[in-house]
Amino acid sequence: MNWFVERIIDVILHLCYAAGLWLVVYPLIENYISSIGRKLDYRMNIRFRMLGEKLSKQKNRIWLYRHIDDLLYLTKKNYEPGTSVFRFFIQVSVVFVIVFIVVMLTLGDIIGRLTFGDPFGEGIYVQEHMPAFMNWQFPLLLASLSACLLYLKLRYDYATIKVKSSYDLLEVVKLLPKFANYSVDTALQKVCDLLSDDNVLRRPLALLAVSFSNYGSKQELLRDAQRFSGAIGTTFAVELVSSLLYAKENGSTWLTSALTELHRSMEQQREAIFEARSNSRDAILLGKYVNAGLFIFVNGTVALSIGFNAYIRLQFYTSLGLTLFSIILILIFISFVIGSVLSRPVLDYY
Amino acid sequence: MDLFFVIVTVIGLAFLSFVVADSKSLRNKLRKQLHPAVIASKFHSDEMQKLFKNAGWEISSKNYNLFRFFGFFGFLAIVYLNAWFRGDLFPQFETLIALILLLSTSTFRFAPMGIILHWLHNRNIIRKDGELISFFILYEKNRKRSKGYLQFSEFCKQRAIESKYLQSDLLILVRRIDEEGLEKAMDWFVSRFPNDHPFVKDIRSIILAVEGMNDTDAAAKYLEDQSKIISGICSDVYTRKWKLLGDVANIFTTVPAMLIFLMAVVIVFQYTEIIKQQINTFGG
Repeated sequence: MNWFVERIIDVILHLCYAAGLWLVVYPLIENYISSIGRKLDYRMNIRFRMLGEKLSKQKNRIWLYRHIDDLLYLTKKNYEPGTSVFRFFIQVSVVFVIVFIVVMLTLGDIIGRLTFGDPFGEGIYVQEHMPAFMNWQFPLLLASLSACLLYLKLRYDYATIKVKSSYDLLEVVKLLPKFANYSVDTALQKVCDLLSDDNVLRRPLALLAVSFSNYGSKQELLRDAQRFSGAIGTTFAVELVSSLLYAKENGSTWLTSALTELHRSMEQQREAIFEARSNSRDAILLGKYVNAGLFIFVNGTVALSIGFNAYIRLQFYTSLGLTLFSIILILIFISFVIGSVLSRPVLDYY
Repeated sequence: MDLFFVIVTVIGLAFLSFVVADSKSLRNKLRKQLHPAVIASKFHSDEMQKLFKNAGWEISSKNYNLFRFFGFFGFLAIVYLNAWFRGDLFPQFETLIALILLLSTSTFRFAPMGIILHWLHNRNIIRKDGELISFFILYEKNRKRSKGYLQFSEFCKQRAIESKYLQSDLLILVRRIDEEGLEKAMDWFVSRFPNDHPFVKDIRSIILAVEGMNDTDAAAKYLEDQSKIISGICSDVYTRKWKLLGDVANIFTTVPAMLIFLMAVVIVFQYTEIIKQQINTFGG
């Protein structure tokens, strides 16, 4: 197994080296990234700003930008309209290039040259010859997997934060009536300062306050407000946003009563959710731990019955054992992730 | 090679007879039928298109079927030509694989594609119900305001911009209210949902009753009375959504468990193979 550990350490050290280079280069180009990001945002939104097109008509070629922008709007603490998307794209492409080059130069075509000998004899060995330089399939696969991992992490964060934001909206609605006699944008800004640190709505609320105070046209204000309510996605968010818009137009004399009504119904719904513990939610939570426990238990039993040494050799030195083991580990991890995303209900009517 | 020449001769004779034939109408009919667009349109299937639309996919059934069949035939053509030129036996394994792929991508109810489409359709129905209930609750809040509530058609228009699944229905509803009046428009709206839908008829009756009242206080009081029905509807939608999620979670729990047992069996089997070998060499 020496060669295996050696190669893994090689890969890790090379990755550290490349990551260090990137960290040195990054501050030099950061200004450049910000300005390109702002230009990108301007170019993407120009059709709307100039022609005032409706929200529903979007061209196909910018759906990717819109999709990543919506994901980043809710998840990033320092979100800015165009720059965050550009920064995300740069991160993904840098990860892809670094992993590709490092794996190509270090590991090369290793998967094709592995042979599985007798598990109790010499085990796995690699046919040693000079690595062919143009072997690109395995590095390409590994690099695209790492790039996809970044995107999947973003999706996972988005799903958990979206659920949390529906509960954080309750805090916003609690704080807002205190400032109901100010104008809407000042009220929103003051609420923003008072929010607790782990409230995920700080940045979106701050952006909403800015757009309430200086908007170019009524459609732009509507668009930003709908973006806020669409990001949270619950009925209460839509209700809050429509109350704010109405208060902006017609004065905020009745805003307090509307907000207290909203607060009351949100608390009512939250209690209803606590009471209605549906069976499937418990089953989802249980399934996470059952699989991991089963894995350890079954493997432990087999190891005890046929001898520990024999078990290790048969599990990790044969191709079938190794592939099944890794597939099961990956599936358990995926089921953990999906279970934790699905198990917490959103604070909404449905 | 002889077979090849025989086939070419037959095709040539057929073409010659076709060219020489006098009847113009026969030629035109044949030419019309052999036009690529006409052949392509034969691949269109209405039920498949309906299944795709229900699941929310925007593929046309024509393209999907063309892709399936041409993939199948192209793959088989390449494999057969290969075998024929090399003089191999008839490639049974590849034919079987191609047939299995063709069958599994069909949208028959119990084929994999059919199951996926059916599940997507159920998920869309549940999301549409969710949007419907949220629409109704917002309407209730809107009407309870003592001053400055929106008219029904304006309210529908605003909600249409934000909803995803109800968008087209709401916009057509607004137009129908202008053309035909509220009652006929609500009847049409109810017909857009399946017949045994649990609560869309309640929604229709409540909206018609409230829109008929001119006095805001009376409307608010009526809505208060109906609030029990409304909360009953909410909890129904809630339980249905969680049942669907529970099914998904079951799949994710059972598949790794089965794989774990399979792996244990494989390891023990390999072990007994080695032991059997040892017994045979030393004990025999």
